[in-house]
Amino acid sequence: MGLILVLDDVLDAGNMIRQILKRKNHQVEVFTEEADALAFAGTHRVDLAIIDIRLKKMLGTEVLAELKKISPQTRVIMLTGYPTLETARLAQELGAFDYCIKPIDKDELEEKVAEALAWVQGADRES
Amino acid sequence: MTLTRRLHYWATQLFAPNRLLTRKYTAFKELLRHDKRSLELISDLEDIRHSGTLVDTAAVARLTGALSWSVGSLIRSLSSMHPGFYRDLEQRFFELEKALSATLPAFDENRDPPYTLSLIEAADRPALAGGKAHALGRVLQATDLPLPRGFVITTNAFNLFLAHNDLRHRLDELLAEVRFDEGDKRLRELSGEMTGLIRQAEVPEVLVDDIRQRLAELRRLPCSGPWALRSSAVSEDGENSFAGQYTSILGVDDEDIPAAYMDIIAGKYTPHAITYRVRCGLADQEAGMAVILMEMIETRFSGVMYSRDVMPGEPSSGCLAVYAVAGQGSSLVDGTKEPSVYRFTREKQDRPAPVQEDSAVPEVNSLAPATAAMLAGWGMRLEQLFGSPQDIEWCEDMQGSCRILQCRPLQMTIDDCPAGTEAPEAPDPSRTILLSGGVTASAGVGTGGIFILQNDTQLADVPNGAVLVTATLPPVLAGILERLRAVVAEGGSRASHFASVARESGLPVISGMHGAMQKLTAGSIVTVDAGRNEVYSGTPWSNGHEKSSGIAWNTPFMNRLAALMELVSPLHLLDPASPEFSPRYCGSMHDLVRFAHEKGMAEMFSLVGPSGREMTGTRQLVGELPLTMNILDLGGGIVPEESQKKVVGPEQIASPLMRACWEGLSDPQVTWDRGLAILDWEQADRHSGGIMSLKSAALGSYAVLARDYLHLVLRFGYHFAVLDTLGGEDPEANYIAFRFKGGGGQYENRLLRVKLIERILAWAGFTVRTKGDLLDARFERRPVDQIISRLTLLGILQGKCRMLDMALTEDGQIDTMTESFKAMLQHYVDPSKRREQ
Repeated sequence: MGLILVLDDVLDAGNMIRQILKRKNHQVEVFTEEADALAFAGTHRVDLAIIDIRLKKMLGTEVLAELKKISPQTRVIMLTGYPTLETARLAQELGAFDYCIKPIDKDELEEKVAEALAWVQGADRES
Repeated sequence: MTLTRRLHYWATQLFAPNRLLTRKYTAFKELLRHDKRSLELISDLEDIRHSGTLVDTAAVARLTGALSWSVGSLIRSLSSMHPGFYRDLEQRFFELEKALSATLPAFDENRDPPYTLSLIEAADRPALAGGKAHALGRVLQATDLPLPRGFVITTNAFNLFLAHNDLRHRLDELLAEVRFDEGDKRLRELSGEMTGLIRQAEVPEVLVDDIRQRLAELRRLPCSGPWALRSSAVSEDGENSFAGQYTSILGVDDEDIPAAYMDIIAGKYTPHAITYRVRCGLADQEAGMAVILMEMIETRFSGVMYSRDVMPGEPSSGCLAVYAVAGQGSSLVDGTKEPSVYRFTREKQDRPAPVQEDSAVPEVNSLAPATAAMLAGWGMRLEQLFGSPQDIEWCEDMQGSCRILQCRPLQMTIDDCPAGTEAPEAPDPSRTILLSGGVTASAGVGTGGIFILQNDTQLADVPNGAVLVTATLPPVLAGILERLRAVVAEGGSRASHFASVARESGLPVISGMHGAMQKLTAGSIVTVDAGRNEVYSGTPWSNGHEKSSGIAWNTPFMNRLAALMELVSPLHLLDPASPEFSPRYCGSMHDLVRFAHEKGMAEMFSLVGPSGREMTGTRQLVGELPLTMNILDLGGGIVPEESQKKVVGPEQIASPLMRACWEGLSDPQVTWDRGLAILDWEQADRHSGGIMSLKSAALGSYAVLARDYLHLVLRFGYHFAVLDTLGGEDPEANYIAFRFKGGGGQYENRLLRVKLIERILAWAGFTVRTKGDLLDARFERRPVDQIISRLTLLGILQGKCRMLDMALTEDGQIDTMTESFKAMLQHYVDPSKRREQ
């Protein structure tokens, strides 16, 4: 169980992810606006953020960089319909944990989320 | 922090005694996941490369991006198992990734002006003007032949349009999804999405202004609308005709120009235009779209002209032909009207003469023969100008003046772009099928004599031209690739390293073919059809089953892919014991994956340091055996009800792997001397006895376990054994790594024991290496039931061999003992054999 933030410019896409992850008893907060998501991460202990590479105002990687500044312990999974070498490299440099290719495969998402949360808990133990 | 979370945090601190081990294990599991994904992506790319499956370049770029991400994550997982230790591997990854990115086309998506060109400027700027406008520009520049007036909206304007509406990324996303072998429903949907995106976009103001200025210039000529808009894509009307693939829109008023412009752009993404472009092996960006805006001509007659009309079998073949219809020429090219045909001989370059039978009295309301003759003269001039036979569109206006509308190289065949893959030749229907099933790991057909590989040490014995039958697909098989005609494996998968190598070299491989080791007979000649997934006796119906010739190998797409795959697919790192098994020698992503996986396993093998310090605070496993065994559960290794206890019994072990080992150690055939504490006597000697607790983790045996993982160190007197094993649902990830060393006996006697263990393990399917009294054995890529049976076997062998270094004194004993061990253990190697008690 973890607190998961989802940021996607398309509300339906975010809601679909919430549907999948709520079944696994996670608390899921969906945002379409970059600023709202970052504000939430500043005031809550977010375990995992799922961020689309393509957003309304910023690039997903820019949000990733901001998020890592305000909440370094949050694991981040990037969503992309089209992973390029450039975004892969940049996102990894910025500390993204993993990526998921759209259209999202439910099992793959669940697996990656479980993996990311296991890490968060592993890091908890060490802190 | 919520109360629950705080409690959880506190509980974790208290009950998870060793963070380092847990972290390493978590990283290892993650490493395995990325390893699997990386290999899948490599095989996806190889599939495209070797099967000639049609995909858009965007699909390759997407897979490459994903691969880079997965391999990067894999290496990061390895690094986190041993921080700071794999810097050179990370470095090598960055170098390879950079090289990889250089093989992907760096498209010039220039968005700078000029956004429009005059037709004459188009003559010298093919990349900006596209094929059709470039050709017209050359006609205008080099001849006095009449053309309609107009201008060109450039490919840079197209790039600007895409960028302005942020469309490139979305188009690539959709293009990457396109498949051509799954019916056209999905293609139509994707195409609909793409054309929809374009029609809903907006033409940038700067471009609208530019067009407005050009229109004002045209009006001064005077020349006014309505207008005709025609596609002029880069690569169109060149080597690939794109004939009829793109759109033209006629009768467009000034205010409708932006919408018509977008319609022409959308025409680039119709199902047939996408299919044609992909078949030609061009990336979307390689066919940038310029648009010609021309005055509309009110036509009396129009048509096409082939400067050399090749019609096989026809006597007039090779003549110049003018095809004419009344009114707009579109009815001719779409086949709705029957044209009049005028043929001309080509003997006299400057004056083509009418061919006799066609110059009969012309029908009423048809093109005047003199006009046709004039057009024929133009045709010859255009052929001279361009240096090859031409396909020319022309029209005659109401005043009787003709114009050239379009001019492109004549395609000698109807479609010289690649067709789809031809179906492989059908085999002899009367063939005797020996075995069928499994999965195609690498498609093809091969014939040869069967060689059944019991273990990797027999690799050297595999003869030339063999059909190899094997339990699994270890990477070492790549070393004997040249000798093989086909491979049939009971296990393995298409994502294995070897399958990838096989695909690259065209070696047929069937994986997952159950019972092959038993049902196929060594030495018999068989044919393996990987694709139909059958093994049948004898040779195939016809000799030589060559690669299907329907695939166009020499397209820009295939050439790019070939360069890319050089950095993705070849496996150079075959032997982990070789000094060349290092990041420096990693020449492909596949090498990086192989290296990282091997090192990940090695990291787990050395999970606990020699001091055993990592094991402090762990629990004890106490059973019937006189073993001091500390255990650490990483999750799922011990039944949950017992998870708080300091001492657990063997019945509380939940890990099937540990249970299997314990079962072997407790086998009735193993006798234990209960008077002696089984621990590391060498260590005990070193610490003058008694000072150290005999229950110390540094002296005793220990196990780190999880539901599907076990790391077991057994210390028996003066020798030790390390066992690291993964046994989960994915056979490809499963392995047993086993090391055995030392002993209290004479060195020669210890060597005899090692020799005995080597023989038995090789017989049981392990790959074994020895160096002095050190033995390393691997059993990899097997289903979990085989892992479990081998673990029990190892347990028994450990128990039985404990004191053998004292008992074994001469070489002659080995043969007899090997045989008796085989008889005792054969049940674990071949479950079909009854266990002999």
